[in-house]
Formats: sequence, C-alpha cells, structure tokens
Amino acid sequence: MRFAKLVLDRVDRIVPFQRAYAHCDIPCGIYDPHMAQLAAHTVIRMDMLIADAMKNGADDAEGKNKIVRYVSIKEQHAEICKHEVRVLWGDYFKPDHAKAHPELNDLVWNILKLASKAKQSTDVKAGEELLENVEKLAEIFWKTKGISTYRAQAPYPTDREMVYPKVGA
Amino acid sequence: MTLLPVSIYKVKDNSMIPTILDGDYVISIGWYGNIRRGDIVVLRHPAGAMRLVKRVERVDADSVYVVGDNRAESEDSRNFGAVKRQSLLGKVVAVI
Repeated sequence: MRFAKLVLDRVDRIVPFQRAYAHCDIPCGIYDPHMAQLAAHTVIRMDMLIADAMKNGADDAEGKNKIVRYVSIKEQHAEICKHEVRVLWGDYFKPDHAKAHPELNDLVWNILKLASKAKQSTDVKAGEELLENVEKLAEIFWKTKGISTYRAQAPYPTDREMVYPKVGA
Repeated sequence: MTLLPVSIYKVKDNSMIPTILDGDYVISIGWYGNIRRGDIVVLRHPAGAMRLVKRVERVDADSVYVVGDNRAESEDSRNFGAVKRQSLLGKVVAVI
C-alpha cells in the first residue's frame, strides 16, 4: 500500500487526480473579509518600505537584511490574502451569491492573480490594485449578509481606504 | 454515476479520519449496484461542484444520508440534509 501510494503521489504530481473532499468545516459560520483586507494593506506597506529602503541606500548588510524581511512579509501576506479569499469563495459564497453578483467569480479569480502579481513586483501599484479588488469583494460579502458598508481611511500607515461593515449603533 | 466505472480521487481534509487520511487516495466504482448503510461514497456537494467523500448512514428511496467518520469535523447531511441518489458518483472500494 505504501508503494502504491508513492506511485500515486508521483502520478498525481504529473497528472493530478480529481479531489474528493472529506470536508471538515465544522462549519463555524464565522467568515469575514477583514483578514484579506489587512493582508492587502500589508502588501502595500511592504512596497512602501521597500521603496524607502532603496531610496536610503540598501547596499550594506543592514539594508539588504531590511529588504529581504520586507519582501518575505510581502510574500507571506499576499499568500494570506489568497488563502482568505479562497476560503470565502469555497466555504462562504454559494451559487445564489454568484447569481446575485455576476462579477463575483471573476473578481475572486482576479484577486488570486493580482496577489501573485503583487508577489512578483515591488510596485505599489500592484498592491493597490490587489487592495481595490479585495475591497470590492468585501463590499459584496457584506451585501450578501444584508449589512451595508462604508469606505473610510484605514488607521494604518498605508494611508488608504478600507471597506467597513456598518454594524452596531 | 460516472461514465468511467473506476475513478481515483485524492482525498483532502479530515472528516473521514481515521478511515481515510488527508492525502490518501480512494478508488471508487461508478457502477456500484446497491448502496448500503456503512458504504463509503464519493458524491457531489449539493450546493456546488465540490466532490465529497462520506459514509452512508441511511438509505431512503431516492436519497441517502451521509456523514463523516470524524463527526466533530465534518460538513455532511447534518448540515445539508440527505442527498439525492443522482449526486452519488461512486462507491469507494479501496483506500490507499
């Protein structure tokens, strides 16, 4: 059996088998686009810090160390953003939501691509594009819950807006 | 039912622990005849295209009630109700 599994693993790497999910959602019903939004903001912040570090000269070991740390965090948060959006798409959103918001599937697809683009680039524009699409997803998310949203300046050094749900008084 | 009588699936997630572990493979047969209580089946999630692997707990005239072996971590008929027999894609005959 162990050998058979090794063989199947090899084959799966070349021609992936279909997936059958032993789906383990409890399901907790706790979903929020906030993590994806935070991650997109972090990507932008890292782009800003990379630009600053380059301006100040990053040729010595200290400077290079800084750049590597920024890039590493940018990479991680772009991946967190993708993960969070995948969870929302796969676990929260239902076909009815996609019917009511026909742009939903393309939007998710775009975010996944833009997050990869943001990994490849240090251009703050790539991060901004990612953030804007994540914000649009957040708006759709809250709409499906019947909760209205507003855009406000986020209290982060990214100096950019964020979509918030109107909850409470 | 699927066109091909035999399919191999790679299993993701933990709802069938300890019978099937995350990353195991299952071989399923599409032309399976009768489904009985206790059988493990591959089925389509009623709310989407996702394929699930679960154990049959109850068989009714035109539907089956499926649950995960790992009840604490499983989304199954307890959440989405019994599924139509047409949603069944195959019966699992081997776990590798």
